[in-house]
Amino acid sequence: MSPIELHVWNRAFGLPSLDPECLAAIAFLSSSIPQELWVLVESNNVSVSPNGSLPALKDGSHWVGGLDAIVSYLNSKSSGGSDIDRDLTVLQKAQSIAYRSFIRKTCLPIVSLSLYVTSKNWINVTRPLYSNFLPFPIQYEIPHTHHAQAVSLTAHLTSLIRDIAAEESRPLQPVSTSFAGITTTTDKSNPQEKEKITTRVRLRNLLADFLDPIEEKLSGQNYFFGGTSPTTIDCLLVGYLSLLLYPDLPSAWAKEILQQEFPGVVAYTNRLMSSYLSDNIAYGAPDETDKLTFISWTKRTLESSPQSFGLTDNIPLNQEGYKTQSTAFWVAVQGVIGLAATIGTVLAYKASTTGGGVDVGLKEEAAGKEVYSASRGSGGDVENTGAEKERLPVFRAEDMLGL
Amino acid sequence: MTASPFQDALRAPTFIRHLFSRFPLIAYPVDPPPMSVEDFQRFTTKTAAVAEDSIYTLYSFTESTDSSIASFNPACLKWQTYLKIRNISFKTHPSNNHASPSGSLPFLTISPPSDRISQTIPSTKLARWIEEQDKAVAAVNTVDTDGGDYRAFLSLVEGAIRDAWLYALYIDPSNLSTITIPKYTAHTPTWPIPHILGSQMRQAAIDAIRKSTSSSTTTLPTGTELYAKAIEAFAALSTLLGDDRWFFGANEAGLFDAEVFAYTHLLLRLEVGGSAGGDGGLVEGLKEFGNLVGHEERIRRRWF
Amino acid sequence: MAAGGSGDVFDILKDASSPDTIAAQRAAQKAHDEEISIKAQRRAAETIQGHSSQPVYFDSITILGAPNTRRSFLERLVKPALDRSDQGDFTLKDALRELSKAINGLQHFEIFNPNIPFYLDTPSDYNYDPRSPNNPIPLSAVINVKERSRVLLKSGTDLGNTEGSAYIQGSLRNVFGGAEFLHLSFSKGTRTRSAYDATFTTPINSSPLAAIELKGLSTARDNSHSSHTELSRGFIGTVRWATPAYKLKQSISYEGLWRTLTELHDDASNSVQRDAGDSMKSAFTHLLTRDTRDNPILPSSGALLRLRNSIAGIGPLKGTVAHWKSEAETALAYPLFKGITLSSSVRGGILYPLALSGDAAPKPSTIADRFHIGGANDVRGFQTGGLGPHSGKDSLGGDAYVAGSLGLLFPFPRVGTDSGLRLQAFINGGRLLALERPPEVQDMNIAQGMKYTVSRLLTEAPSLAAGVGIVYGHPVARFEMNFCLPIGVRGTYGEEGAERARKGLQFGVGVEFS
Repeated sequence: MSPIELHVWNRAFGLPSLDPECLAAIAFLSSSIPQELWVLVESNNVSVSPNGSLPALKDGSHWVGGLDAIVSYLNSKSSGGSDIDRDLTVLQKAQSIAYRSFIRKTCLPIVSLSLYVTSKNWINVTRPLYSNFLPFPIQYEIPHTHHAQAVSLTAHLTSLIRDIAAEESRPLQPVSTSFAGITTTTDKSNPQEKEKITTRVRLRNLLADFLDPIEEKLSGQNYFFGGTSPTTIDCLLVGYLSLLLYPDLPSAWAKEILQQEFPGVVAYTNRLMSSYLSDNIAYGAPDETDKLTFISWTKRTLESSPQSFGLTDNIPLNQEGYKTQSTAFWVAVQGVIGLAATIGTVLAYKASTTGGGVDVGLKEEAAGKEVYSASRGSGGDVENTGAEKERLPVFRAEDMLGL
Repeated sequence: MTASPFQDALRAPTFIRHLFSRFPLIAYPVDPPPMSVEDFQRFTTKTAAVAEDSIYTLYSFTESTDSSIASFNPACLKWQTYLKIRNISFKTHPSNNHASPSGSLPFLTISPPSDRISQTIPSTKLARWIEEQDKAVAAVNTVDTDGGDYRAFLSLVEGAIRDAWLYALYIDPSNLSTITIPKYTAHTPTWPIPHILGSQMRQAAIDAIRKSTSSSTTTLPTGTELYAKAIEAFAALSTLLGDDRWFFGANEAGLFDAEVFAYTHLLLRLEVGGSAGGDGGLVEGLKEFGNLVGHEERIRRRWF
Repeated sequence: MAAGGSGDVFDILKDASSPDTIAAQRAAQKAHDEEISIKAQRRAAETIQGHSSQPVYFDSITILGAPNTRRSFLERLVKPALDRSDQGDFTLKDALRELSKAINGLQHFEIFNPNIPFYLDTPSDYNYDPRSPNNPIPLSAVINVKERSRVLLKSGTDLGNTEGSAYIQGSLRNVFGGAEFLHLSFSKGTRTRSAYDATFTTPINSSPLAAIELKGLSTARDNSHSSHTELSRGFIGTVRWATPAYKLKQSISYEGLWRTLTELHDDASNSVQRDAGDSMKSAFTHLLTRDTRDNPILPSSGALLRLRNSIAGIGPLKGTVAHWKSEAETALAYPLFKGITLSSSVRGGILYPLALSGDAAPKPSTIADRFHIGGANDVRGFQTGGLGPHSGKDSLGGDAYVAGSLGLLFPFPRVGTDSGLRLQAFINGGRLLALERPPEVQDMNIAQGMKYTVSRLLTEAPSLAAGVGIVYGHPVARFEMNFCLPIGVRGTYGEEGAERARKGLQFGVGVEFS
């Protein structure tokens, strides 16, 4: 039996993937099933996934897309054998669902802000990263799409983003180039420094908004729900936290704030990361059909183009709906092209048989000379003998006319 | 405080100020403002009976000025319920997002009878405002709204359940045309406004779902997936509630109860059909959880 | 060729005119023969006057240089002249008058260059019979037009009432060869923050006196005086016609407008909050104007009368607002002596709520429909919308108003009356009231309420302001800078609901002043 393949986004930042959900999936597989039963495949190809996103799991010919679906698929397949949540109480399971939603909702914008939207990091680190593993034309499109998503996710943080950018654009201060914590007493007369501190405080508050509940919940335990082994929520947390903690970024606010303010979370992340996102993962190569190539990418882009261009903006009830939608769109496009061609042919045919074009030309020529002549009797030539200006003061009739 | 010479230079010469202070020569009494709809009804139909004349008015998506008739919008219903829970008497006023300074309903206005000026409190500041009212009931719900569990479960309501609600009411074509459009465009039923507003609302719902579900995926989820997520969220909420009367074991209803009620009440009472009704739909899924249904009924019977 | 006797009009005409061909003559005109042509004109005029009673008839009227204009359109313009000539008893003077009318008609449509020369001759096969000098002489008339370019793109700035704007406009002239116009424009301004509109105009039956206008529009207007922005989009169809004999202009229009009051200020009052949101106005409006003023921007004599009646929302009109709105306006300018002009104006209007089709009782008016008066070119000495009921800083508008002004315009010292500069002294005022219930009556109807409101309007003292200032009447707009002081105002400064007067300098730009 061939091992299960986990398809993910490429490794980066010293981590097995650049995507938090993929990292979480790797952590889940590492902690739930034996290492020899699965391999990691860096296919970077979302078209393999039934829900159009990575991570995706390939079991023989069966595909599962998305972390939650992977977890439940493996749990049911192994009849609970791989279920790392099996020892949780009912309430803890409910909490697990709630925290999953909480982590995704609050932490994804922070990760996006740090890696994609903070422009120094994006230009110097994240953007160049994509060129390393993507083939030529696609290496421009995919990072662009990811960046656009990150921007839309952080739309509510506009003023903060502006502040970070303003801070970055300033020349580095010789003394305090790195963040010195909010307790640092700075010269209040230095407005730049003061502004820098307020930006830090706001970033800290953003992180604390997410991390305070997590730290409260961890409260020194090894795992989220205590115990001796990780649960799904730990896998998800390490996926997100490691992307805040490990990348070496020029604007390293996330890492700095984490290390200074949330040592418990850092220790927790380090522990999980060394156990479940370590180097001893077996890698596999993607099958020819699963590889990301220009052709497969183009095919997928075309299929999803009605949606991505907003032409058929809709959320159907099921995946069949998406397919129908896409098909309907292309049928419509063909119809429009066909109709245009038919009309064109008819017009061309008419023009060639009736000579309408020539006719029009003649008319215009004639019209240039004389357009209208209301004649009585035998109309004569135009004799240019008398020349009257209309400006005869005696006969002006403007007063009687005009609106 | 001493005025700088610069400020001195900017001030008008004394004689001008003296001259100005004498005008206007005559001040007449102020004219009354235009009549509101209620004034007008009293004026034309002779019915002097208006139920509550509270100084607090909650502008929300509703069909009535009676605060015990539930709003058909979850965000409005949440605050309407919470104000009722905290025993603040108010009337509602049918309105729309354009009226709100923050761009979305609800908001509360306070118009003391002695004064023609009124104060406006947007929904983001309502919670704090309610805390400052001494009229609020004694048996206050003491759940810590900054706690991890509170915020985690809140994110379920605001995430999975809201997305499914948006899908059911705004994207499902049958509910959009039979419930959402008629209710939200009741004041402008003239063609083509409901159609235009309807498609705008639908687009806004799609954008909201796209935003709340986007991770590294380019494709949107399907309706079935959204419903499944919401039912999973209801299951988690049901477990959380357990056999308690109110969420988090509180001895009195609180903001979280209002939050959950806003969705459960509307899903159970609004006759939501289409893809959300029927077997395997969102409504049937919700009805599976008896304690949530009971919770909805508890709040409804007491305050609506 | 025209043969001539000594008494022949055309012989003389021929002698008097330049011997060149049309083209050569036009070239000559352009060059330096100004003097000759003026002399020639004068001689021609004298000649024509001398022979003005010569009986003639039109043999043909030819219009040259209109390749893109429909024949039927031109035919209808020229037909009156031919018909008139067919009736007999047609002299040379009549012929010239008829031709002049036709040319004026051509000029009016603005599809040709305004300078339209015409030429008169007898047909080539006509031989003058000296034995019967009273036989009508056939005339061939040639009208030489030059079509203006069909596509016009322009951008510029505009001055409207209390606002400036910049616009981009594209026009298509003579779309179907019948003087139809299509205008597309986009403008951004200080008050009308953005406006897109598309207008199609066509004359009715080639008449310069009647036209149909179809317009689609979308505008965003900043009503800061009432703490909101008003968006309107919709359609307006207008039929307009003129009766020159009475100097009357009239129009009937239908408008279907979807209006949204949005972007409320944080401190918007309750009344504004209540009226915020969407409404649909479906209304018919009749507008009648009689304007005999010599210059609408800076009149020195003449009178203006304007009546405007509109009815919205009743019966099949649908929509969400129903009312009858009636306004009357008169303005008078009277020259006194030494270039001093007396000007006065009186305006008034009422907004009468009606029941929507399907509703039992009327609904109160909304802020978008009510009247707002006051402002630099309305009632000076008050802020925009400064009169009438207020709440906070918001003008709530009223359902009935009167406003009037009395002013004197003096020529500017050492400049004279030819320039547009004037000095002015004025006193103006107005009263704006919301529909009110009479105090002693408990149950009553709207008619009684309106009667009571109007009686208050007419019997109580208006809010007044007076001032002096400088006026400059530019052909495009009128500029005013006034020093104003309020005399009588409702409410004191800072009081809730007080009217908003303006002390000191007030600057006004606009095309319509009252």
